[in-house]
Amino acid sequence: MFHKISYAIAGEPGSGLIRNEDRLPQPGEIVKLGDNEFEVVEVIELIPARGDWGYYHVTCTRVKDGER
Amino acid sequence: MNVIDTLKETEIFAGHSDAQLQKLSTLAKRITIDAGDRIIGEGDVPGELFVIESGELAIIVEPAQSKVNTNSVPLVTLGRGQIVGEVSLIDRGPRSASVLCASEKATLLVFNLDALTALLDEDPAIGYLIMRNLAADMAFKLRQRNIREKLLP
Repeated sequence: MFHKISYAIAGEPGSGLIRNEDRLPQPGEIVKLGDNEFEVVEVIELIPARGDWGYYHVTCTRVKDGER
Repeated sequence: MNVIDTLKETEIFAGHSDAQLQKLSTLAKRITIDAGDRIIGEGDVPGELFVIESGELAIIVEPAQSKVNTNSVPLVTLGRGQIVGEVSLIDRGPRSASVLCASEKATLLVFNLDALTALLDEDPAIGYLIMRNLAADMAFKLRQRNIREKLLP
């Protein structure tokens, strides 16, 4: 199964990223986008799965230095 | 990673048989770019479609011809498995945004639009799948922009 994910960072418009993932991240997990780390807050199915493809929106918050 | 493996993990090529992927792979050229390299300029005449094999590309809109707005506006960053330049495959209009390498390096598969269009015309089965998947990709991008507006004030 391929997961096509749109990541959005709360409070940071224009900072989103779209990429494929081998697995779906879950709330509370830390993901690395670019050079920075973010905590997953919310995962929403954007479109019903089609064939081998699932489509999701993930909202994250930035992990501040020293908070991890 | 060989070209066909990359195509199998790219949504625009979903549903294609191995034989169809083999045909498409003959059109692909692999390139590697460095941080800051610009592969598409806003307003350019379109020539290629790009598949991201690794790394990230930033999609930005350049400042308007105005003394007020002098900053480029980042729209989104695209990573593994995404395509860039697909709108021009449909309407052949000038590029609507600029695209720069946003990671230290990025490896891309490049498809010449004229050659790809010729293949889609010559092989309608491939043409249908590509266009259907393109529509799905654009629907995804539209929906993700809508949900951002809704969830992220």
